[in-house]
Amino acid sequence: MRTRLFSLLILLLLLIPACGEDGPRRYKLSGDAQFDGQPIVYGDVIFTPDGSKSNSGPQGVAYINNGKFDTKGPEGKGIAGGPTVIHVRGLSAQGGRLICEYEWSVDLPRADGKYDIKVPKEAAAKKVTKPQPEI
Amino acid sequence: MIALNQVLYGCPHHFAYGKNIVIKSIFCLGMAMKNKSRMGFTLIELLVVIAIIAILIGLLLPAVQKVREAAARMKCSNNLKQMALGLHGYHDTFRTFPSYKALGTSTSVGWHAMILTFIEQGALAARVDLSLPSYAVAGNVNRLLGGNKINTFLCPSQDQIQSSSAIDNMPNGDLAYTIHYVGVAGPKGTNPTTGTAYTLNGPGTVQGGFAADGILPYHSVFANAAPTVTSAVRIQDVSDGTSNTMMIAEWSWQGLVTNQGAFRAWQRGGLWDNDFPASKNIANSMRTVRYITNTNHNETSIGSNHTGGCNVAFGDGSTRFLKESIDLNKVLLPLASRNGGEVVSDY
Repeated sequence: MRTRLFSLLILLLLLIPACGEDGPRRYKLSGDAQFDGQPIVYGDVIFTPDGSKSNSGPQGVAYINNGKFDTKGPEGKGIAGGPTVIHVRGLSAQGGRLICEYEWSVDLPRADGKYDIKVPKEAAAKKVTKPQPEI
Repeated sequence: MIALNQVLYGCPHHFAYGKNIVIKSIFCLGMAMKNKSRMGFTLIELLVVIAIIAILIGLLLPAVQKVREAAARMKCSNNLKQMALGLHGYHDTFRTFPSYKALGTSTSVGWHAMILTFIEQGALAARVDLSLPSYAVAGNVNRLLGGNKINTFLCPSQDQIQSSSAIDNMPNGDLAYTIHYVGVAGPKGTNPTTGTAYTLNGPGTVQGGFAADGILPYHSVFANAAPTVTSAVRIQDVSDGTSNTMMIAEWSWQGLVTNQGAFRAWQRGGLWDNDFPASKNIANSMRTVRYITNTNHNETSIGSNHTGGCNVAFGDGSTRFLKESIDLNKVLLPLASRNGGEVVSDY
């Protein structure tokens, strides 16, 4: 009986540090990601609180995989909500070349939700005017 | 009765032999029975013991890992302190923080290579040639510096300690060593107090441009374009106060290794209108934005492999652990700027 109580106590002690997560509130966001009507194969979406509209908070990030993104996905981070600058970079494949890059500002709700990203045709990757450096 | 006496024979209570056989048997039989049950453990007892040992090991292992990580974090914080003191040593000697020369389209070596004398790497410092560009030219002495490993520039929590770029390779094909700490070139975004955009240096946009409002910005004057900031920063230029301005930050999180490696040789300075490995713009939160297809090297996120944040050295030489959840526009950008006049709330 005493050993059982003892082991229960140890289990409780183990569980205590696992609770609690600090930091500002983040919300989940997911949806489709398309460029000129076609799903973006791979890329990233960065959600930056728009400082020029006095919004603040943590920056969110999501990775695009086969036309879909989700801040809940691997290495994703939830968004702060409110006026947000969305920056999308679409690649031909993971580690591939840049297909499109686009940035715009939008007012996102401060709640979990869905948002579809449609990158227009004119956002095709800018031509690099300078020779590629030895990087 | 004979059998009972045989049992009792080994009993120490022989003194009462005879009439008191009944009392004696009560006294000593119990002992005999007890001895019999001591012959082994039951399965349940064994399992309980194993379970307790397992729980204790389960408690111990994460604790050991935590201690190891805490030691790594302390070593990292000490590295930052050394570099911050090195920069102050440089300032004491030259009256400015490290300044770069324009050499072709490249600058001279980065600030890491300029503070070598002040972090007890005098032998290496003697081999730095400030009249040559930091970029790879076959046989350039500055390029050959990359083969030397300098532990002060490397965080023990990041295993990738070499450059991901083939042009940094030594002539014999060996990889060059990298840095896990970058200077703060300045913030890129909007000043939350004044509502105006932070200064960018010149037209550089190819890798995210050059922020100009930090302590270690890019400031060489090139013939093809005039940067906004043309002289090195002095302590009196840090009007926000050196204890409120970030000088060096950790830049060693795992996302910089996966996908496309962002690490470059430690002696590199900057390339005009292009990448600036020695310092970074603060435009993004920690551990958020990776390096992707040659588009954003200068504004990749700072961050580390330590849990929950990264170490940062401030302009006064103090090192602090900043949390990853820190507010971007109201705290991180203002801390990166040296002269924005922002009011920074608690962080």
